[in-house]
Amino acid sequence: MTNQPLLIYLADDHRLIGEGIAAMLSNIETVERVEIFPNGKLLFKEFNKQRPDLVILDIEMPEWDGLTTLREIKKAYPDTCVLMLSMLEERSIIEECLSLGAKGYMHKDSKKDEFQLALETLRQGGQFLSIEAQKVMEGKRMASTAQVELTEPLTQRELEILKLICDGCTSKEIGEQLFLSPRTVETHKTHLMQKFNVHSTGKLISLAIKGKLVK
Amino acid sequence: MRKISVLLILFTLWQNIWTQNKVVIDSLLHLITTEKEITHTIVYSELAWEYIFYDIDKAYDYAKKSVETAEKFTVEVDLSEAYNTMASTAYRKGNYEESIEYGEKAIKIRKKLNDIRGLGASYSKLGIVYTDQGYLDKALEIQLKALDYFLQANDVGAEAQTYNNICQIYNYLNNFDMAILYADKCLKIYEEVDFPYGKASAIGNKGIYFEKLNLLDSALHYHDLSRELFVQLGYNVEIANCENALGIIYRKMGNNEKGLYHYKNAYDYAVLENDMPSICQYAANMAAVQIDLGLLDEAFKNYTLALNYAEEKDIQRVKRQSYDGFANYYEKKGDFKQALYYRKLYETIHEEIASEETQKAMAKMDALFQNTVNQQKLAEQAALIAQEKATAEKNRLEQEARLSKTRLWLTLTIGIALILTISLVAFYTRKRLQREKLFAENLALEQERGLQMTLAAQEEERQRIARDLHDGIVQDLSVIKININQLIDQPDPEVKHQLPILVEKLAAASSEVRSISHQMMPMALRELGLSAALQDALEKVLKPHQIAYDFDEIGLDERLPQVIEISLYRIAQELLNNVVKHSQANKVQLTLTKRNGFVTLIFEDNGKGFKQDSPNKGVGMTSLSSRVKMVNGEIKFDSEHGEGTTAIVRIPLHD
Repeated sequence: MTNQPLLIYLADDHRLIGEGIAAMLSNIETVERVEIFPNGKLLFKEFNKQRPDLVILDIEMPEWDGLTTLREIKKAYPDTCVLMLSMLEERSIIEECLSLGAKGYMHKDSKKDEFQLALETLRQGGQFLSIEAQKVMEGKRMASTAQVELTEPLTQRELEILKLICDGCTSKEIGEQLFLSPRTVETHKTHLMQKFNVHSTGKLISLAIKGKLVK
Repeated sequence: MRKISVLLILFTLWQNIWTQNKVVIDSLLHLITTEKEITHTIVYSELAWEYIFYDIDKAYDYAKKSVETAEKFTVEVDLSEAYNTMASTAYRKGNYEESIEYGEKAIKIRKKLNDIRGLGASYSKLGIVYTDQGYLDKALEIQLKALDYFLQANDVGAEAQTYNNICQIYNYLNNFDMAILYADKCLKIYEEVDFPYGKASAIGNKGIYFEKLNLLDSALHYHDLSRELFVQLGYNVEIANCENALGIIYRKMGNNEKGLYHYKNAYDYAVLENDMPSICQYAANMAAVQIDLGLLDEAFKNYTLALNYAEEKDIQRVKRQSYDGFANYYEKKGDFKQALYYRKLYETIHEEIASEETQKAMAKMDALFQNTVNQQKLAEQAALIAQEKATAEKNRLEQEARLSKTRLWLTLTIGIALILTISLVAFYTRKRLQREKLFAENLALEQERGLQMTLAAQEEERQRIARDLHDGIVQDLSVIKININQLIDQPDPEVKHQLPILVEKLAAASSEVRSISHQMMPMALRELGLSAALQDALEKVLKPHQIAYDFDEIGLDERLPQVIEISLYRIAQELLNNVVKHSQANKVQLTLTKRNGFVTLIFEDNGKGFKQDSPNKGVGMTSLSSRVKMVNGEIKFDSEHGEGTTAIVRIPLHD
């Protein structure tokens, strides 16, 4: 972002909120002008006339919502700096925005000094997350293990049972299909889990399919 | 109840069948201008009768004028006539109390005049009003009085009509044995005077009562007989009615093909008469069978026809039936979005109709309650019924005596017949049991479908509430917060101190509303898909309770159909709630796979598990299994493996 006074495009379908935020931003000295749009599509069209220094997008809007607009802007004008503005506090949403190339994620009802800080951070090329968003993003989602390292090769019977487990059969159903007692099936299942070194059926299934042991 | 009303109204109308006669009306209007005013009472009364079936407001006005004129000149015969007309028009207009008032005035004068036939007619009318209002014991008492007068006047037509009215009262009292008894009395008269239309109607009514008694074979027999008579007479509307009744009974018996055949006949006869309301009703009936028989295209055509007309003329019942039908149709076609749309329309109109019916039923209950206050009348009532039953008993005994004379001759024959009968009875009993079993199964199926419909409607409602909350309250709260934040810069120290506290409270409220909106319909589920939403849910629900969790997904590169995503999300939500509330688990594994045309969700916890055979399945469990069935899936619980619970949900994907 430049060191010149900023031209900001803001899209929010709620007029009062858009005007409120625009008024607040206009009071920041580095801001030259704020243009408000009722949806992302109109904001995007305005790029033809003049390129803004910063785009601020609400996520839930009619026509193009925030995510769609973000995608389109990044496709056509990849170096545009975009700040997302939302009430949503879901990790998946925030992650999606950042992975699409947004530079920041802020709460709609943030105060003026928070906006000031955000603009400053973005101007210096950083990423800005509001306190609420930071809290949501604390800690990492566990990346699922994908490697299959069997401690011992599987027997034919174990493979049969593994396939049925992956099909969503209970021990009782497996027993009925293979003419075994549920208890025997349980024993095989315990062995399978030991060989895969896992502690849940879900993990067993996940590794078996990823390791292509089961189609 | 609707069917019987149709037949009885038809029957009542028959005696008054005329077309609105412009010539008659004109000449009557001419009389008003030329004749003396004293004659106007009768002319106005006649005018009221001319209009009563076509323009009830006009009829009512003329009846009023008739009363006014009559009260001016106080000629008793005219007065009784005017009051009588007024009672009838007020009844047709739905002013029951006014109708009773004038009916009683007419009766008073006619008693004085000793006008026996007139008294019968007035009482009969009064009885009908009370029947309509639900004062059934009073109605019965009055009809019996009317009957008495008609017997004195030796008016057999009116006598038969009164028997018919009594039938209707017993029908409302759910005493179908008595209703049949009176239908027979009515029938006997019409046979004697050779009045085939009345005969056919009475037989048709008998069919209805037998149907109510669930004696379907007899019901079939009488409706068939009634239809044949109407065919001989060439009354197409009535034939159509009989055919429809036959269709209904065959459907009840589980014979869809025959049901369809008769509905089709009903439809054809209605077409002959260009009787649009009936045509659309019969079309909807046909479509319902066609759905069951898998003739979807034809069903679609018929529902379209029915709905178009019903919407144009605002026929609520046919609309309801068609919406339900279209929902079924689209469900069968796999278009769940359309199905949901029609299901929602059905729910709305169903509620409207139901609440209307509830109000009517409550009014009737109220009336029935008031009846019981009058013990004296109740006693009289009991005596009357006892008398009727005694007569019936006597007749039966006489018949019995006659039979006993011939019994000796018949013993041998009976012996053989008995063996035949026993085997027949055994055969029919088995058939009946099969039918009952089928019926019970269908009932269970319908209840299940009811629950699923509720769930579908609930889902739509949730989405709506989530939208409303998010678009409305959340935004409003934000605006307030922004405005307050702008005020904080003000120099007033009091304001400076108070505002931050307000802002905090506002933030808390806003966060609360957001969380409700999220639970209703998470944005992630809508925008990013099931996996993202499930991961958010795991984090949100389990993190605060220090329950560890892990999520695996395989093969879900594309979005799943929306109903399946929502169903699986709600199921996971319910299971998560159970974990937090009951399980005492500290670890949850959620696995989602898509392979070989199935989506499978496996939910495991290491808690204390539960007894899956416990007889009282909780509400949560019932709604879980309904949700799964809604998308043709299955849910299983596997608690055998050590501790904890494993829930397996498996749903087929069909493109």
